[in-house]
Amino acid sequence: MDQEQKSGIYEVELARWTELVGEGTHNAVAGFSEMVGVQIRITALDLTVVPVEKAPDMLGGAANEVVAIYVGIEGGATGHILLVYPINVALGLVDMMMGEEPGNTQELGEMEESALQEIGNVTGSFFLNSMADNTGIRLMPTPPTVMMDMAGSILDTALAEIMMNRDELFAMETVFSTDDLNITGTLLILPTADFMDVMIQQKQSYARVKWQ
Amino acid sequence: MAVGAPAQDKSLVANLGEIKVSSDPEMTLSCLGVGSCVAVCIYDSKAGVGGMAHVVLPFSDNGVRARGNGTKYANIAIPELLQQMRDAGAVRSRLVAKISGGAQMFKAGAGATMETGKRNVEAVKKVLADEAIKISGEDTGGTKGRTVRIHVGSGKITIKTVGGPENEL
Repeated sequence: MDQEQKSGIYEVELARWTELVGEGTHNAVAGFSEMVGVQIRITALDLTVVPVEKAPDMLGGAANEVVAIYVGIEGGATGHILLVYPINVALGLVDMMMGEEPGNTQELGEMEESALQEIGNVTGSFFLNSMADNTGIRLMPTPPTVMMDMAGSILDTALAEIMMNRDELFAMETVFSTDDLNITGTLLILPTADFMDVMIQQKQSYARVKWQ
Repeated sequence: MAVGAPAQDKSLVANLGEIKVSSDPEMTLSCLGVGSCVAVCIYDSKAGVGGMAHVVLPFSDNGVRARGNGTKYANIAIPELLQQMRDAGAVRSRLVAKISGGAQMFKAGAGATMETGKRNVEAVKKVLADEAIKISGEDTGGTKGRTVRIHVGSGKITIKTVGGPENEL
């Protein structure tokens, strides 16, 4: 009771949210997998509630250097989608997308960024299409931004918007990888408070899940 | 991971919306991976007191009580930082500020249209001006994250970006 009341969101609503975002996430990872032509598995999918100052820990700490593709959510509700990769994985993805030998790409120029933007476009669209299909709410991805930077700086703009309303973060954190571990990464879905309200108000069936 | 790891044994990290103050000459205070946030560093060289605030948002709305942790807002964090520095032995008339951060990380979406970084920098400058604290150094804007450190013993402030050298502000 205490945890639910602190966040102002109840178990049933949370279950509904988890189900929706879980389905969207599976769809997004399937889209990504199809695009790069490699089987990618979800190894962990968690709805986490963390104090905002601990949020960078999800990405290895505020100073951890990563490559991130950011896609904003616009339309009937707003939120943030971040695909985050270790730097060597992101460079390897560019090799795959551009048909280069593994290890050829050493830095992110305009061409390389545009290849990664495509991954953001596909993943974001697959996620939002699933959400829209299940709720009837029109959701659109913004053009993607590719960043090679520290986890803290990649997250703080999105966190600032969330912190206008609350100091804890609801995040759907998905870790995915290929069997050979050549591709690993994290997909973070960060809804605004308004986004969650809009989604859980939709009268759809829900499954009860245990609060984490 | 290595870049942001504490370079010295004695270090304190100011996370989002946090304030750290120290008068220990061996201490380093840090804000790691600052994007649209602003690291506000204030120093009293005579008393050897250094302080840092990791500001996330510009102003709490119209005097309404801040939601949650107030020190995420520039207009609440800076007066609180000044108070904690006074408590640690700093003298207001000697305080000098340096600020860093306020980048625009996203090219599109609410994060871009809200111009959080730019508004944070403007808010921090306004509050420092209202408090009559002089800004003696600034490295703000751009599109890159920064790690900002203040070495309490010397008052030296360093800024590091990914792939760039560590520069003194």
